[in-house]
Order: sequence, then structure tokens, then C-alpha cells
Amino acid sequence: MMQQKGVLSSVSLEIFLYLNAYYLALFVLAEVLLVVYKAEVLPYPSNNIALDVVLVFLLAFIELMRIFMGSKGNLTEHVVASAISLGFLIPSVVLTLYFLLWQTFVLRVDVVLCGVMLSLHAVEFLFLCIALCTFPRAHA
Amino acid sequence: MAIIGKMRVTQSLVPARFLVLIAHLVIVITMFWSLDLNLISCLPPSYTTAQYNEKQTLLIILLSITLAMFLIELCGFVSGFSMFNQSQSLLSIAAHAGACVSLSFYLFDSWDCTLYAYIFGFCR
Repeated sequence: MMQQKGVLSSVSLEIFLYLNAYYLALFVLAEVLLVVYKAEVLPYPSNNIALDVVLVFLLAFIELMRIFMGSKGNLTEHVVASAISLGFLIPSVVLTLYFLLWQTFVLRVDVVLCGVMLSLHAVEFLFLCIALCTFPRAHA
Repeated sequence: MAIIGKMRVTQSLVPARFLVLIAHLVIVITMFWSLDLNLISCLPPSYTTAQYNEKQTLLIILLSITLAMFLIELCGFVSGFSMFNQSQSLLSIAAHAGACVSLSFYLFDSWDCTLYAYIFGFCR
């Protein structure tokens, strides 16, 4: 017999995914402008400029996929979509760590921006794990 | 029609407020980190250690209060207490945007650090 379980989608996860999409736009804009600034002020090898810019856009793409899948998976209480979103979290954390640690020049602003990004990732990881634990109950 | 327009305005207030808050937070943390660079600009050309320490304590106290208030405001915002309060959002956006612009001038042109107290007073 099917029991009525109510809505299992997480409001907190949805709020953080929504805000993360806007923060992503700010982050990409800031990183691209910072690359321009570093190229002007510091002796920036041209190969590294290309690498950094490409990685910024790769991060933006992966994050967009992650936020889209996470939001849809959360709203439809779909386990697989949420799990894919959780899987996309790994490359996006690695790429954020690249900008935090292994970039050609790491400014203090970079550290702060990446720190905010990583804390958003951590909060979303937590809420996504909770959501993934509750979704299977909808079909149980 | 009017209701849809109003909803749209309300919806854009939330991300605008979040972005302005985060931008201000990033600037404040960067300021805290590079405190000594800006400190020198508000001291006379030949300053004593006592003067330096006095100014440093002032700025550290002000910046710590700012960060604590950020914590309160971010908690209130994310938990939803003030997320859909429109007048509070508008006030917050105006204050934080003003603070962002003036603080970036403060950092780039290395303004006198007592001015931070005024910025703090007006934007909080």
C-alpha cells in the first residue's frame, strides 16, 4: 500500500543551488578580470593565461551542469539526477582547488573567492547527502 | 500584470542582495588580510610604534565587528528570516553597495584609515 509521504525536496538545498548559480557568475567574472589584471601587472606566461581562462570556463560549465542536475533532481525527488549532481561536485571542487592552490599567481582575493565557493560546495554536499538519504523513501 | 511585475522585482531582489553581500564580504576579508598595507597610509611619515599599534587595534576591532555582523546577516538571509522582506532587502542592498564602492576606493587609493570608521558607521 502506498503511503503519503509529503514533499521530500529540500528547500535549503534549492536556496543554496539558486544562490550558487549567481555566485558562479560573480566568480567567473572576477576570475577573468583577475587574469586580465595579472597579465597587465605580473610577468604572466602566455601558455598559462590560456590554461587559466580555459579552466575558468570548464569550471563554469561543470558547475552549471551540477546546479541544473541538482535542482531538477531535488525538485523531482529523483535519486539518479541527485547522484549525478553529487558526482559533478568532485571535478568542480578539484577545479576550485586549482584556483586556490595551483594557479600561476594566487592573489589574496583569489583565496577569499575560492574560500566562499568551497564553503558553498560544503553546505551543498551536506544537504545533497541528506536529500539522497530521504528520496528513496518516496518509492519505498 | 502588476502582480507579475511585482513578483519579478521581488525575485531579483534576493540574488542582488546576495551578490552585494558576498562582494562586500570579499572586500572586508581582503582588507583584514592586507591590514598593514593600508595602515601605513593613515600614519604620519615618521610614526612611532605606539601610534601604529593604536591604529592597528582600532581597525582590527572595527573589522571584527563587521565580520560578526556579516555572520548575523548571512544567517538571517540564508535561513529565510529576512530573505523576502522587501524594504529590509532594499536597505541592505543600498548600504552594502555603498560600502562596496567606497571600500574599493579605500583600498585602491589607500585612503586614510580613520575614514573606515565613517564608512562603517554609514553602511551599518
